[in-house]
Amino acid sequence: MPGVTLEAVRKEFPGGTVAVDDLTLEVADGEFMILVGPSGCGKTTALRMIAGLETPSAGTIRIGERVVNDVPARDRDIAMVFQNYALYPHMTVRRNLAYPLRQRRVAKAEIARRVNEVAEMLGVETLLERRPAQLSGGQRQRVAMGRALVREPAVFLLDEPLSNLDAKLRVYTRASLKRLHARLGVTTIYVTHDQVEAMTLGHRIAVLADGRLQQLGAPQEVYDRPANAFVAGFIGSPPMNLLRGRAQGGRIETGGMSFERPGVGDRDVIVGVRPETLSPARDGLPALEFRVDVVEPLGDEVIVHGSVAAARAQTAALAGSDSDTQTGALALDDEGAGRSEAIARLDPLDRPTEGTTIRLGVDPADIHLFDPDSGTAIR
Amino acid sequence: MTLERFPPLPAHGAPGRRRLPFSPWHLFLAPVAAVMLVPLVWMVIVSLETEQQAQSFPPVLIPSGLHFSNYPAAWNAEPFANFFLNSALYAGAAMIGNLVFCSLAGYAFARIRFFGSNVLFVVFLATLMVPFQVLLIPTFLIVKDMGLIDSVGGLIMPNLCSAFGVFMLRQFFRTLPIELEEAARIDGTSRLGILVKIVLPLSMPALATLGIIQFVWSWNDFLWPLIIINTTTHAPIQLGLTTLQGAHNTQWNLVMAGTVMSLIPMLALFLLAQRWFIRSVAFTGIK
Repeated sequence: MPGVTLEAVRKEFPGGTVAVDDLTLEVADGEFMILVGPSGCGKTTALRMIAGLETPSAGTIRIGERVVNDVPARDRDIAMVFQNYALYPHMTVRRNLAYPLRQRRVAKAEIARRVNEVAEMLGVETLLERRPAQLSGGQRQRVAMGRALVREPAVFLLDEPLSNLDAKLRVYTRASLKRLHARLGVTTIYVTHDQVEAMTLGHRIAVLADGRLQQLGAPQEVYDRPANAFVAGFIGSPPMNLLRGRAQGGRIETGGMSFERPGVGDRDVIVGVRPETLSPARDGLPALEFRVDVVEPLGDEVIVHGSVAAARAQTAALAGSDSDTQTGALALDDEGAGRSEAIARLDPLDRPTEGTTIRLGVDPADIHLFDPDSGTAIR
Repeated sequence: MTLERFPPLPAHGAPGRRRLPFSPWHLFLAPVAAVMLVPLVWMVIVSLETEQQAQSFPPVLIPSGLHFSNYPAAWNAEPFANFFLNSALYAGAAMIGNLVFCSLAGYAFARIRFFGSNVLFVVFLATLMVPFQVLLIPTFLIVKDMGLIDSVGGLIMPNLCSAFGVFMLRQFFRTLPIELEEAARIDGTSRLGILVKIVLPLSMPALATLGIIQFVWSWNDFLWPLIIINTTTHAPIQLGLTTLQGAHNTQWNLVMAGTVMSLIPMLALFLLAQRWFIRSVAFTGIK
């Protein structure tokens, strides 16, 4: 089972848009690799180049040992599941599943065997005579997977296959996908903008932004040691709080709290605090003054939205990213001083009241630092 | 907090006005429909009159009897069987030719990026602005050089493909999700295979529209047959009907009988394909 290698791959569209810039990535045999990033980061373009639907402007793409830059899509031994499934509307489910095999002139008996086997594996054997319009979203998704599976390809390419499913079905299908991959062991490249899918499904995740690779690693590693402020703010839900701070004399100050971090020098820094690392202040821990605005009870935890007395971090690296979640602008409080929004995740027993100000502490070991200009992590 | 009580809605129409049993629009549409129907009804009436009644003025609108014998008389006066056959060949071949060639060209313009495609497409569209009268003589000369003057082949040849058809199908093909074609590409289908197996089966409304428009247009075509057909037996129906009109005397009742006969196939086609026809015309607007 071959892996996939991208070497310095670049895609520039007519008109000058650079969708993918200098992407180097290696997917091992049988690995489940996730390409994750906000809309427009180039992940789908990268997938399409691997599929053969787009030609790279520069760089090399290999499937196994073979360079496939000039190999047409049909000869690359790949199968793709599209975001909107792309089932042939005028064919029954059976014909949809059989189509790739008929194109390759596979024997009829073999086609029937494979179609039935895949239909059973995915639980769609009762739907074989229906048309796609008569199927639910989840059923269509399974048929689309089936159409890819019958090919028994070397590489699976999946383009946001769960994004059109409702939330409950998504959770269920995620687990099914993982089980399927464990059973079949096919090299899989999966594109998503949902970082929960990225964290739960992949052996390794590749975080992309503006066409460039930000970080490549196992999900837990990317979560625990983000390479830059973008990755830190993207991975993790709710997102990490990124605040402007100042390093001076071996101590870092932000939002009214101060803690020791030697070896940083005297400069401005970005301080990153994950919402789940905040808890009601205890002696000995640095603490933020947190003005509570909105409280969201989730049953097993409480998400608290509020503001702290620190400016929101803005770097060149963050500027191009999904600006919907980076609220950016400073929220001015009554006194006119700069505050910015922050989020905390607390135990339901510690649920605060809206409108009050509480003190939330964090272990300094859980605090991340980033350079304000480049966004790179400071370790 | 109490809920607002809304006043009861008035009956259909403004309050105080009595309800009409039909929409007010019908007061406008009914007379217009009547005006459109008058020539057709008159035609049928004349086709059932005697020659004298047909030629009298003021026109006789209620004939003395129903002279159905006009129909076989008209049929035998001129070679109507040939007329219908020629029209059927002309319209049928033009329809099939358009469907085949406009699909190929439309798909190329819709999905294939080739050098000069945009310029070429604009040139295609520009030809739509040229009136047929300007093209008449050059087309005649080409058909003459091909040796097709005075034949059904000469009727068909210039009408095998149309810029309108190419434009219409290109626009329709572009509305189909490209992922279907990409999936077919990955599944191992060739370009032509994608057109035939995926795109065309999904383009039935557009193909039906084009087919119907071309068939009806060719069936009703008079000017081009008039130019190139010299022999009566090679004439299509619209040209054939004029042979019933003599230089000095015209038997209008027979002419009308012949015209009614020429309408019947179109009417039958419309009734059969009514659902398709209306949906097709609507499609060109909506999609």
